[in-house]
Amino acid sequence: MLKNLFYNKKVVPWIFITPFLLFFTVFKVWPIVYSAYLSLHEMSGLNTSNFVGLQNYFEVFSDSDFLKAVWNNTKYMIGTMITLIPIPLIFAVLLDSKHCKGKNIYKAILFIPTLTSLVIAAAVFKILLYEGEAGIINTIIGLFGFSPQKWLISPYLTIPSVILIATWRWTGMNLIYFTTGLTGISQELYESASIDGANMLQRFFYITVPLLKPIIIFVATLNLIGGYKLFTEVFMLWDGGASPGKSALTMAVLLYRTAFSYFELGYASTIGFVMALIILILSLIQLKITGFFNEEE
Amino acid sequence: MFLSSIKKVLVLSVIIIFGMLFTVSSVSAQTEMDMWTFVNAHAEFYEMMAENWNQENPDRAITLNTQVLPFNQMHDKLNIALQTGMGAPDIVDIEIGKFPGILENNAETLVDLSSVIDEYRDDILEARLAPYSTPDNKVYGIPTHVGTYLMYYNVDMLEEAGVSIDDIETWDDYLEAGKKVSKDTDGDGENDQFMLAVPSEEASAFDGMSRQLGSNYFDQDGNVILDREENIRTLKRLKDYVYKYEIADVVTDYHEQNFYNALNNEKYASIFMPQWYMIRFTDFMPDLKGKIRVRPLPAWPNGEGTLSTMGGGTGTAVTQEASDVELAKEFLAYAKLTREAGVKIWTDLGFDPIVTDAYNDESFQEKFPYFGNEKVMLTIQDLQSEIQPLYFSDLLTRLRDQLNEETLYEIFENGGDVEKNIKEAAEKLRAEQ
Repeated sequence: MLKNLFYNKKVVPWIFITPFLLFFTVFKVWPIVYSAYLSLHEMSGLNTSNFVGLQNYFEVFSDSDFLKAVWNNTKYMIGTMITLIPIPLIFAVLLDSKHCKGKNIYKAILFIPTLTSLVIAAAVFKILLYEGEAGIINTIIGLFGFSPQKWLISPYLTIPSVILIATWRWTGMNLIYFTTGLTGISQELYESASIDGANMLQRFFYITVPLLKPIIIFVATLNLIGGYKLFTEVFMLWDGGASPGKSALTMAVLLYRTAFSYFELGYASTIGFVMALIILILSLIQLKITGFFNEEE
Repeated sequence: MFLSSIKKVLVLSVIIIFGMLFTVSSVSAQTEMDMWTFVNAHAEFYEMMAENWNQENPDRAITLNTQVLPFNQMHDKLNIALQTGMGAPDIVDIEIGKFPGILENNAETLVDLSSVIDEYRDDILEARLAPYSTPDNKVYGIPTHVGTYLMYYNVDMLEEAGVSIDDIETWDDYLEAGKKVSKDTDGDGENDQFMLAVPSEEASAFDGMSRQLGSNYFDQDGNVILDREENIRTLKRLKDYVYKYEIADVVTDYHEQNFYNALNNEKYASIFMPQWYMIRFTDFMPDLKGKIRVRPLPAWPNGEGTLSTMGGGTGTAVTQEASDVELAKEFLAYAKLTREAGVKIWTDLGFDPIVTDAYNDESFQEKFPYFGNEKVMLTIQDLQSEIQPLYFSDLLTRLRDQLNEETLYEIFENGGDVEKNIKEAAEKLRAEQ
């Protein structure tokens, strides 16, 4: 009987995936379903709930803190697009060049930050970005004649400070993506372009960039998603995310606070859903514009 | 045969005796209690008090297992434990800012301590219970200290400017003194020595002055009163100190190395903070030894308000999950409300206790070389009668975030309009009520 069951081609696959399905349902599907339920309720703590329909969703779009958070996330996301695509790309091309010696050492140096714990990295940057004249980054910019900056205090510098950390941390990772992409580009293309008289810049813009497009789209999509999910750096740099003038308040920090400081799990779930929706819509728009879907056809 | 049966009897009796021993010992076993806190020194304090308790009450001895957790983590964990009804400790330290929110969501899982507090009510500063109480007079937390607001003057700087600190009686006198002491030392046209530093990311200066006037965030029923006239007046005065009279500099907060260094380097001639800031002076500002004097806050002109108020705090609570609720309550009262506890809170933790009789202990007569060889604790004792109750609501965390991250920042750092900003903040909070 049992033996028959194990030899039944329709049943066996289900037996094998049951453990996964079970975990997936309990730890992934159920929380999503439950938070969808919560987002339609006004909760006070875990135990009292009040059905309010879509009120939380209407509220979230007129919540000045939420709108501020979306704007801060957007600024951060744009910032990472500006730094985290060109810089790793240039490094990748330079390291791919046959004139470059000790490639692996440079790659390792650039990659090490990716391996660090984000919490520790943020704690270290908090010290580096210290606003006094003795601050390490202030000392460095002082060598170039700049006056000391209030990195973590001035609202204009809070997001740039977070972008600085992101750039330091993710350059190595993106470098790996781009390097992998570069190995897929045939050297013959460069050689024939050279024979036709294309200079280095022309080869970069007319061969490297177009052929790396899928990788660039991939990295840009990761940047976009990461940009809107920003949490740990802000949470660490300003104890619990209390940035000056709410200048670095992000959606995820607002969600965390709403849930665990203000105990409003219903509204926090709504923020979570709207956040996911924003990321989904923007990712789709981005993929559409960059022609990702066309290539699939 | 006979021998072996004797052996059997022997073995059996040994087993029975051991068995009895075990039963007896398990009957008299100490009650285990878990305690969470976010301050190392507090854990040590409670462990010491548990030892004292065990010596005095051998029949009701306890084993106190303290656990020190990071601030946010402990409060989040506690909240989840209380809500799910699983894993909460017997006794827990809850920071004053977190207290109202946790209480609001978990009133039925925390224990009303009124019955044990009643015994001590006449011997303590009762006003200090208000932040941990509900409008129906149930008390859910026992305070650790008073946190008497004090003015810390740098007497050297003031004397150099020709000001005697004992002539400063009102905030107007304080302003006049400030005008003398604040100056441009490096000739760049801007003041770089000030009477005061006003923080833009914490409310301590605003709190001290507005609480003197009996105002602050909430009324007794938990309604938001942030835009009250007294609060507006306080903020306008502080803003004028910064922008109109230039006797005050704007800093982020009073709790970072940068600020300690500035005080230590005599950039600011005074600061007003609760009593526990004394420890910051002695720990972080060694160069000011002998230069600092502790005085009451200047009074508001026209004799309005009081000369001090309370600031900061930790309320210790008992949870319904406690293995022995009554014992936990009694131990907690013993550890914080007896005269002996009051003395230890001063000698071991360095805080001003709420137990009034403790101030008569000789340890409070101590002269502090750091504070000009004065008997600082006696100044504090005199101020106890000035302290009025302070009321909070579960919106406190939200209100603090709003003030620290937006409103105060706008007013002090950007010179924003006081009335407009404070009214906006109050409306925003009322919408959440």
